[in-house]
Amino acid sequence: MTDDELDPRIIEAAREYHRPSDIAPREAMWDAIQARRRAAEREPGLRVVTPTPASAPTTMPGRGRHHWPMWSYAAAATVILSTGIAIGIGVRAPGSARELPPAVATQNVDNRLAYQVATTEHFGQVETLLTWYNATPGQRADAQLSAWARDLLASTRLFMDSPAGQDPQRQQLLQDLELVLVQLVQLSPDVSPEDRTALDNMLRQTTLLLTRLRTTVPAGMAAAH
Amino acid sequence: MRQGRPGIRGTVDDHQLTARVLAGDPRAEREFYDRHVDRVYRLAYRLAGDDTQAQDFTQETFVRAFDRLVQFRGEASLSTWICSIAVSVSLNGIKSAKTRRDRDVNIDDAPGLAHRGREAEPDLKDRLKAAIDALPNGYRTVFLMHDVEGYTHEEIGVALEIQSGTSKAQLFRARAKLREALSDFAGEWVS
Repeated sequence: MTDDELDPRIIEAAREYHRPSDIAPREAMWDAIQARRRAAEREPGLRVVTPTPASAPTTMPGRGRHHWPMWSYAAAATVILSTGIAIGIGVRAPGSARELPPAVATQNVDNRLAYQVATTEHFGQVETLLTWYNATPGQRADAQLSAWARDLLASTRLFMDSPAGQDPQRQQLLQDLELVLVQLVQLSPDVSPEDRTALDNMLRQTTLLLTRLRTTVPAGMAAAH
Repeated sequence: MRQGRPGIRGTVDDHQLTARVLAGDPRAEREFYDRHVDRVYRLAYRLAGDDTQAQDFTQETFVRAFDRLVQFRGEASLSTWICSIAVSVSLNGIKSAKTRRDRDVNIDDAPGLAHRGREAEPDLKDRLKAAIDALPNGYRTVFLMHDVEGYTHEEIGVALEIQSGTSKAQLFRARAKLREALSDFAGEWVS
């Protein structure tokens, strides 16, 4: 130790200053980084603000009269998506679409319809989440909201990589939803009001996202499923 | 004890990894991230003192690093290069958010820190924290990077775009201010 160096006890105490946890939240940050990079590729110049956590709801609101547990939304989306994928695998034929026999062509139509139904249902679930989030400014995100958003984020990504994502308009909407859901996944109970405001601002910047969702989801569609 | 010594991997390794990332290899991107994220996050957290901000700054650091990786020439190690981005992002982010206004208070303007009676201080660590908070930004950054996180003056010089001699001078002054702030504990805490 030179004359200039501080006492080791001070240095030891200084290590407690802003001491980070031993384990960085790698996966959550990686997801956000990937989402931001994808957004930047789509729209050069777009700057996606990562929000700061807030505390959250202890109960998830249902849509309409029913109050379904949050896992039911994820389960429904997963079942519908799996059905669509299964149909897709089932109708896969070695030839081109022009060579498909009428029965298979009909199945392809069913396949497209299955994906359409599945994505519409999925959009309905995301709309429910965002509507609830926007309608409860006084509440804070908690692990439940984060888990709900995480489930929907996983489904969103599945849809993005599925035939449902081949439609440019739908793909764009899925990508925008992915960004927002990544932010919601990161909400934690100790979010500050400033952070909540930052997320609210970001949601407003993804303007018309809810409007687009509502345009995509026909009235009563969620209730029908 | 110094933690997370930078430049553990050689520059050859850095160049290979950089080349793979630039070639669009997603596994290389993830390896790049995994290799540096802990250090970046630690540094961001040390500077910000807030987990959410630290995560924000870490994300921003990697987004910029991937964008600018093509500009990496290897003059410094990849670790030092990315830490320079992290410092820049963190300090600018902190300044913009104005979340650390209290730290703008110059320690010289806060005589209570240095002259308050010991009995008024329940915890020496609290005193030390207040003293670190009261350091000017440059001093505090150098102190945290060198004495707490174990960066060398050369690395700090690259990260802060200052001469290594300037880093040494700022560290000297930072230590002097901390000694002064803790002077009433001389003999127990201050050597």
